[in-house]
Amino acid sequence: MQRRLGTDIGLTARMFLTMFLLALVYLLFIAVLWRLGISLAFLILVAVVLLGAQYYFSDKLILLSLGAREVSEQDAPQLHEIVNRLAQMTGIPKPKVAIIDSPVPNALATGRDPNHALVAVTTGILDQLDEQEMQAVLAHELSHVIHRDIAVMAMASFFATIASFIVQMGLWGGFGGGYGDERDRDRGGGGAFIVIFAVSAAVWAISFFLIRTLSRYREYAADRGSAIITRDPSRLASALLKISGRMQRIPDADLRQMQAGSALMFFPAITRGSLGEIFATHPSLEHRIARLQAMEVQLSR
Amino acid sequence: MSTAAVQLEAAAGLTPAAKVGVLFKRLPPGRFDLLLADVRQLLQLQGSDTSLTVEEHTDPLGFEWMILSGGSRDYQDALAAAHSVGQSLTEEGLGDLLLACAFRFQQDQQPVYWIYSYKQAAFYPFVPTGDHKRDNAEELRLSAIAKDELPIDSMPERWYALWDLPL
Repeated sequence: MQRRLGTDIGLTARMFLTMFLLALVYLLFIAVLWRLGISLAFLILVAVVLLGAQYYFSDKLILLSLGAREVSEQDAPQLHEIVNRLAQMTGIPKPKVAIIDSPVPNALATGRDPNHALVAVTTGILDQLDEQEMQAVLAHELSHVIHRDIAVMAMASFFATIASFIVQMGLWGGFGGGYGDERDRDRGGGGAFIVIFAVSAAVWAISFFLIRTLSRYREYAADRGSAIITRDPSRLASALLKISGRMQRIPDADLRQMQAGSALMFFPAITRGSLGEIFATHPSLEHRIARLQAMEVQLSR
Repeated sequence: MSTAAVQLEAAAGLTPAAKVGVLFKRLPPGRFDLLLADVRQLLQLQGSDTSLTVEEHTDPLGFEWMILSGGSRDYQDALAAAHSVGQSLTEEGLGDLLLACAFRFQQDQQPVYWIYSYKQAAFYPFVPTGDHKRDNAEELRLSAIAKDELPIDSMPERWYALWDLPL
């Protein structure tokens, strides 16, 4: 029996469509700015500095901002062993490994390319997952590294950063004096600011949703990557359920005891697959589990 | 359940063990004995075709079980008997007293159970691995494989354990 998963063509297509729409919005944005005579060079400089810093120092920024500490092989031999094994299986250099002291279960990957990657996990996730589940989660994070998601998302948010910068400048007080020069007056004066402000706000809002959509697709792709590496999508599904908080995990409680205390039990209404998802960077748990289950069916054939 | 068993055997290496347990909530006094008598009569009607036996068991939590067990050929009979118990209670309006039905399977010498919840009218897998531990990943895998053949409880937070099942 051959157990393999190919590429998800539908997902890839949607991902490219999103990137295309994003590029289209950005091109229109540049065209408008250029038509209105805004100094693009200055804006791009600001964005480059902001994103460049994020891009180049992302591993160190994470270490600083989340209080993650890099751990040596002596400090966390098991964790290193899993990361090492996964790096060998996927043929990327072994990323640095860090631990965050937090009871909230979480894991993340950062670094601009596979040579500068770092994976960090919280003490909470280490407590809750067994070794195989941890491997499935780390395979998901390594998939982000392999797919260069940090770089992709940094590029995707490049012009969104410019747009938000303009919006903020506008909110701070009409772009200051420097812009109100003759050039603008020739083109109709203050009207141009309003147009720039409105266009920037629109670009910012539209790109916000597109970037989030793209981010969710990257999550699905990383889930798929994990399933391809470990050939065990259910292990990741199990890990996701366990770290999702108390409500949605498979219970250890006994059915009979639930029965005895049933008067005290109630199921809170959990909103599922709600509209809220379009605001989210991660897809809903149900959607991720459903996709992992579909991969399991594919593997069992 | 019988078509699902075929699928599970092919895709996940589960073999049905012809052991089915019906779990009851507190039954009125004497009601359980009547049920047992009914099932025994049903089995007698089938004559020597089946080696299915029926036993009663009270677990440490005080819940009553009716356990049907037989050889590998008796799987269908065990399903039919469990079904008839459920039906006769439901016809009397006592359907509320049925809690769950557990179907035992073997997978590499390990027991794996499918639990039918009467309240949800749906199945879920239960893979105990020892001291109050269960293999969630395997449970999710089995539910994915059986999804098209069995009505599976779509909310994993309701997949309650049944520790130390007497079958």
